[in-house]
Amino acid sequence: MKKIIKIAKNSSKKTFRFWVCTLVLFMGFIAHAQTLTVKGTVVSAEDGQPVPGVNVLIEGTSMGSSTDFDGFYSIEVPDGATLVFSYIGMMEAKVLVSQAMHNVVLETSTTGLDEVIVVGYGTMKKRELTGAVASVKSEDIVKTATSDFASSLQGRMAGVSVRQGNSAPGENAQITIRGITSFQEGGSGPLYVVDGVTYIENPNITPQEIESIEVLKDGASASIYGSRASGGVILITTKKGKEGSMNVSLDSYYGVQNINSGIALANTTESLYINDILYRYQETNQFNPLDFNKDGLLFNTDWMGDLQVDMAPIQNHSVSVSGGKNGLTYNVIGTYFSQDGSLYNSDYEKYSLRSNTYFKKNKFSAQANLSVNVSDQNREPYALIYDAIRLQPYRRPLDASSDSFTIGGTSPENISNFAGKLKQENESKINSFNGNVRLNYELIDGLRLGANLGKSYYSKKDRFFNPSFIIYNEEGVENPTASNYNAQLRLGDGTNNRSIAEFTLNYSKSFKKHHLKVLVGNTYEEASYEFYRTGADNISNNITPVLGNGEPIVATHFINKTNSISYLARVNYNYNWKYMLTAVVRRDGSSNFGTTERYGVFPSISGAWTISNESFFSGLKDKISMAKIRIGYGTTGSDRIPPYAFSPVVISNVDYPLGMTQPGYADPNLKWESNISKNFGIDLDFQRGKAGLVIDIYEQDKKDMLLAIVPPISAGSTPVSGQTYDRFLTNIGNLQNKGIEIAGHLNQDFGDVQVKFGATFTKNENTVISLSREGEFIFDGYPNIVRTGQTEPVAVLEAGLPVGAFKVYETAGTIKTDAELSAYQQLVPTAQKGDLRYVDADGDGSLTANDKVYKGSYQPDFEYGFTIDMDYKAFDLSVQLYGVEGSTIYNGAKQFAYSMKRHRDLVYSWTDLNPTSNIPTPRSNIEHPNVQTSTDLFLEDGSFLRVRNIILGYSLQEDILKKIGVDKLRIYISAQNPITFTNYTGFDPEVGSNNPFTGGLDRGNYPVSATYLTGLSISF
Amino acid sequence: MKLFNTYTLLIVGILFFSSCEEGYLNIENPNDLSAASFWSTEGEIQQGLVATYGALQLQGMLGGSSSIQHPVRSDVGRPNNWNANAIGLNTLTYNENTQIVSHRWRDAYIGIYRANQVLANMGNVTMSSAVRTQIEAEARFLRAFFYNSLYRGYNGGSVIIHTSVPEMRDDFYKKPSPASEVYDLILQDLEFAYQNLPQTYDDSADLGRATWGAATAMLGKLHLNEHNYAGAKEYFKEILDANLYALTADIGDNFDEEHEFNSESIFEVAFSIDAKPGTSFGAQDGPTGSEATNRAIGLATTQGGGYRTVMPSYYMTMLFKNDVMDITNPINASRTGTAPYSIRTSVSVAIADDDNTTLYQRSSDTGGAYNNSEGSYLKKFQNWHLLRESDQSVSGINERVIRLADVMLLYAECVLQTGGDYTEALDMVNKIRTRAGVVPLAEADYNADSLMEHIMWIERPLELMFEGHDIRWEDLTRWGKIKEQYERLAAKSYVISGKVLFEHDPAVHGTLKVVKEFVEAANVYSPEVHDYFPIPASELNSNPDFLDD
Repeated sequence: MKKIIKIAKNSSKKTFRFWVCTLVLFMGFIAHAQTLTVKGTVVSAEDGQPVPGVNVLIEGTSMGSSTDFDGFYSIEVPDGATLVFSYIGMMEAKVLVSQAMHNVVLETSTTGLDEVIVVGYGTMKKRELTGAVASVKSEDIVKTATSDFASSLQGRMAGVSVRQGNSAPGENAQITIRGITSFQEGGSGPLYVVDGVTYIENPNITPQEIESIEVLKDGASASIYGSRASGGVILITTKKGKEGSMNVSLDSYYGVQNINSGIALANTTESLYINDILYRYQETNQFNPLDFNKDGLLFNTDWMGDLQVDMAPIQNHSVSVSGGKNGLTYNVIGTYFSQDGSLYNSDYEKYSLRSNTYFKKNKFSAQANLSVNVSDQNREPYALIYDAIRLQPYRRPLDASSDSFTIGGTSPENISNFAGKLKQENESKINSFNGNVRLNYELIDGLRLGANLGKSYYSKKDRFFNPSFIIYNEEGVENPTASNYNAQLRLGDGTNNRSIAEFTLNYSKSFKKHHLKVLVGNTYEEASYEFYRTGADNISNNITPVLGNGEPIVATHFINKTNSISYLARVNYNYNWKYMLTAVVRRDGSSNFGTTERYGVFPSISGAWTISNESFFSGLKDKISMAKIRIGYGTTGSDRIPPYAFSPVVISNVDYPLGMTQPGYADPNLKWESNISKNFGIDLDFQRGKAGLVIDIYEQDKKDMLLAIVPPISAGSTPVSGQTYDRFLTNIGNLQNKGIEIAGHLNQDFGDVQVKFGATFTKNENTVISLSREGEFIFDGYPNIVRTGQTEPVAVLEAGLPVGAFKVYETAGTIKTDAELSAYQQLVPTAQKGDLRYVDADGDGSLTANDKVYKGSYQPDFEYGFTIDMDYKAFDLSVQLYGVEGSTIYNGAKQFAYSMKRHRDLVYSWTDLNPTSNIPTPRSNIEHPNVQTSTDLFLEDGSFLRVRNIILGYSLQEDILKKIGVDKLRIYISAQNPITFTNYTGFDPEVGSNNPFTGGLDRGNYPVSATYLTGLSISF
Repeated sequence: MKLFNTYTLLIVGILFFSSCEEGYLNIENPNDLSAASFWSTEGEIQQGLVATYGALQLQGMLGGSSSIQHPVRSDVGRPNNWNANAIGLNTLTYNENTQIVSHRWRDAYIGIYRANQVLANMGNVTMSSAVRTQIEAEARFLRAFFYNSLYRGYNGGSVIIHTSVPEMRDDFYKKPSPASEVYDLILQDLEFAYQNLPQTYDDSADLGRATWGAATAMLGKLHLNEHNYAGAKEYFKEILDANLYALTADIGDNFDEEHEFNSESIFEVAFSIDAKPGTSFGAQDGPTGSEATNRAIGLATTQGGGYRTVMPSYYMTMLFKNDVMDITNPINASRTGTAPYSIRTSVSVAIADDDNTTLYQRSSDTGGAYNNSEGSYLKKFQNWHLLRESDQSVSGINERVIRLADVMLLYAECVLQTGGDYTEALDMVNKIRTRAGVVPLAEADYNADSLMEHIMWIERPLELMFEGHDIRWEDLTRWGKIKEQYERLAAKSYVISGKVLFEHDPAVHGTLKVVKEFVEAANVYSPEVHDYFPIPASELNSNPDFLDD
């Protein structure tokens, strides 16, 4: 033993010697040049105070020093070297050493407080802000591999909640700002403004084209957009060129995706056992599946697995060219994105091109932005996950590639339906064109006249083809029921055409310490949506799927138009950057309302006080470099309703071809939804940007919330697929959101490792204050998309509860003994042992809808995000975490698997031999109380912590780059959504929907995939 | 620069002097007519009336889904073992969410709303008093038809009454009215129709409109179901005496597309495969789908391209097997074979050994699979003459709601229940049996009681099974015989031997698998719970006032 240690010591001694020699040699090499000791003091330009801790580096080396507490430094440098002084929050300074004493003045960095923030109809410096505005820059937006910029915002901004409800390629995530702000489907979404042009829906801007995203969270900031801004405003600024030589950059990534979640389904043996339990307690309509599937035991088909595509590729390539001179700048970006889905037959491909040019001459400037997007999305067959749950594992797997195939066993139509779906083609092609021109002319000093003229055109063509196929049984006999002889083609075409014209006058004037900015303007907007669909049945064969080869039988056509006019005014005043005041008023008129309720006025006022600019604060300035409080009060509104909704209609599409009837009701007094928002915020900045904290507390009171309610069925309105005749759009009630948002960052160096920490925290409390009728409740939200009409809704709108509150029957395990059974039969005479025991919550001795109780909501207690960005020499590492705590999710896939007797849990259900189980016994009735939707059995904790992103990059060193004539070259590998910590037993706890009633329902949503990719960025 | 200044002025002008605001914000709905501008002519009122008839086609009314499933609750139908919806109805484990429960409610109220629109708006329109009365009578007949479906279907007859069109939101929410008020409303509407509807229409385009006969038969049934036999008898007698109707020579004419609106027909819901075959996949007998029904595809065999979701019950199948053909009846001249079933059997159900007919252009035994414990298939209202049901899954066969044979048997019931001459009743039954090609009842073999038993357990199910939204359930509830029948049927056992159903005889059938039916229903049935459907959850969820006290 001793011997070994001795040898080890010797060897370490040898190693040590080797390193000492190397070091001496190395130092000798450096020392070869003449050296000089340079000293000096570093002070801040703003206040002349010395700055401690400034990094002093000899350029091109890793050698350096730092300033002491008095801002003093001393360093030995080779003759002719350059010193680089850097400090967080300040501009870097370089000094060519020419003497022994160099005092340095560092300017405050403009990327901090003087950062320019887009605020709608103009910009402001960050320190001027009086409202709650969050901002994300391009470098963070492109960290997420996605075609959808919204998903890249997840966890990055406090108060901005992003949910990926449907992760199918090409689908957009849902953004809600400061909680659910609407009862309506799609109503909680923010207003999007791209370079001054408004969009009600996600404008689908390619992430690589975006320079920055600003979010106007509070009413005071957002009220400049008045009636559109109830859900907050997302301002997107696309990239512009800079004057200077032409810069070309290329960005590419390629990766693969996998679904790493699922639902536990029974295999063949388990299924047969579940069937056995079922018929143990049922006397008629029994059958043994093996009677009709003689070879059933040979198979254990994983229908769900068959739908999933492993290693589905994803890639993105973009090229940008930018530059400019003599007042003309340009930036052109072309991007290609393609993603294969992790579910069968889903993929997405998108080409986008954007050209932004800017021209300025004397008092005139003009900017022209053009963007073209062409995309092609193939969607997985509708409700495919439900089919995969339903199908039995003892059925022979099938190859649906040809037009005829053999299915044995009973009810082959179930499998052929599935096979037929796999053969369906469901494609959407979108062509969109957006362009706008902004003109600015300075009439007199400080007074600018502006015009913004924009046009957006969006065309979506859908094509659905359901091919014919023939099914044979095992004896080779054609099965007409399972076969589909009718090849069907459906074509849809929707065109959205929007124009905006906006005229503004801006005046800004500073005199002494007073700074004043005034904006007045008006806007005209026209939006029209035209849709038509046609189709043909009996297409003669699958190879020629065009209308002419069938009999056209369908035609639908409608046009929706909305016009609006707005007048707006804003005054910003600040005194000596200490006291700031913003007042806004906007008046909107919208054609979506009847003549009496057409106009709305949306005023707001907000102020801020920069305490740190007060003289009494100067003692604290070393530590707290900036402290500001903000307070705001503002109103916004919403006109997000379909046009013509205030007037009832008569339709002819009611069977017996000549009939006409009024299919539903309309509220002639329909009016704006309004929102009063109060905000109190604190901005703190420590040690000149080394750390920062922004805290906002808010309350938003929404009045006259719009909702299309279901009138009592007995009122007799007619449900028509794709129409809302069986809904009554009205101002239904009031809602409140209260919350706190915290965003912080900390920049810390550990030796050569520079680390930036970022964190966001969002807590929102959402309560329905009142509904228009006393004691009213409104149920909606069906957990099961394939059996919507036959199941009960589980979400309720009721005063005192949050939106999307689950209100269901509470259950207390199963009925286990005869005594329990006879007691329970007082409530439910038909109950059996093994049935779920519902709780008679109101104790009235009968089970009625009044026994449904509140069991949580999908709205979380809080959500949070963490980012860590590290730089070490040429390496960079970035990690992003996102978490949601305290959200309740309805596991609809589990409910369906229970009712179809396919869930593995049922193996362990109550039987005479398993008499303590709380899992209800399977029954043949798929709406049996044991499996019906409206119980707490399928509610689960949806809390999760997800590793959103881990990115490791390596940038080539400058000296190598120079040799190959490249400015920048970085390669990286990344894992997106690799790990999720959760107790949720379904696919994924991140469920979402733009409908508040279904936001917490996992309805077999397209699950989130884990993505692994590698990328390259190069610019020259 | 001068040009530029012109533009500047222009922009400033737009900014401060925008005009025509109101015009800019007034956009006419280009898609649908406004209700405010409609209802101004007689033609428009007529269109509203047609839409009210249209509601009869809805899936919860006489459309496919409902007509297919209802019969499994009475003794005439049985669900296939994978048809969970129908199993729920068959085992009485349906609940307030079950589609058949909610759709019937919904669709009846759609019809009522449409009828009320006609009645509410016709007052503002100039038309002749004859036309006005005619329209009112039709609309009120239909309203009564829909209310009758609710009255017989739900909550002991206590349902919500709307007789006007709700205007403001608060008008939507109503509590259920007592059953007696619902009854009175139906009675008044039907009486108005009875007094004002014509016996026939001259124009064939008007076929399908309600007639005096339809209103009279409805009134008769209304009184009969309240056990007012004397009152009911008067109405039925009026129909029999009116010389408007006659039994068709071939009973099959009442179940096919070719012989719609025949001499026996009193009220039909019209369907058509051509007018509007379907707007989406398969037949959409939904609210604004096709003019066709998906009933045929739902009940057809696999060979016929259908789903055989519901079949005749074993009890019904045995009745048909045992309904002895009358060889002396000339209409049976060509019928031979090893299993000489009656014409009525051959056009009503498919039994594998029925040699005298075909099934989807195959022999009876190869036109269906007869696996899965399936004993027979429905042929009534099926297109079994064709190779298979249409590729669009739709059928145009009209749903016969009331026909003369039904009225004749009800009249016979009234005669027997009022102590009348039982030979008059026997005569009615024998007219029907003769037309069906089966042996008539011998006067000597029957008295009033046994004839009533025969009508209850043999004649009415054989003649009318699967018709008129399950006439059979209405019969059994009127007689209070549901429990008795469930228990009787649950005690029976059957086997299927060589594709043919037999009552189980251990000595003969040895190891063959024994099948049963109605066992669960017999165990759980109680009249208070099961004679009516529960109020659908969809109503309770949308009408907070319903349960309020």
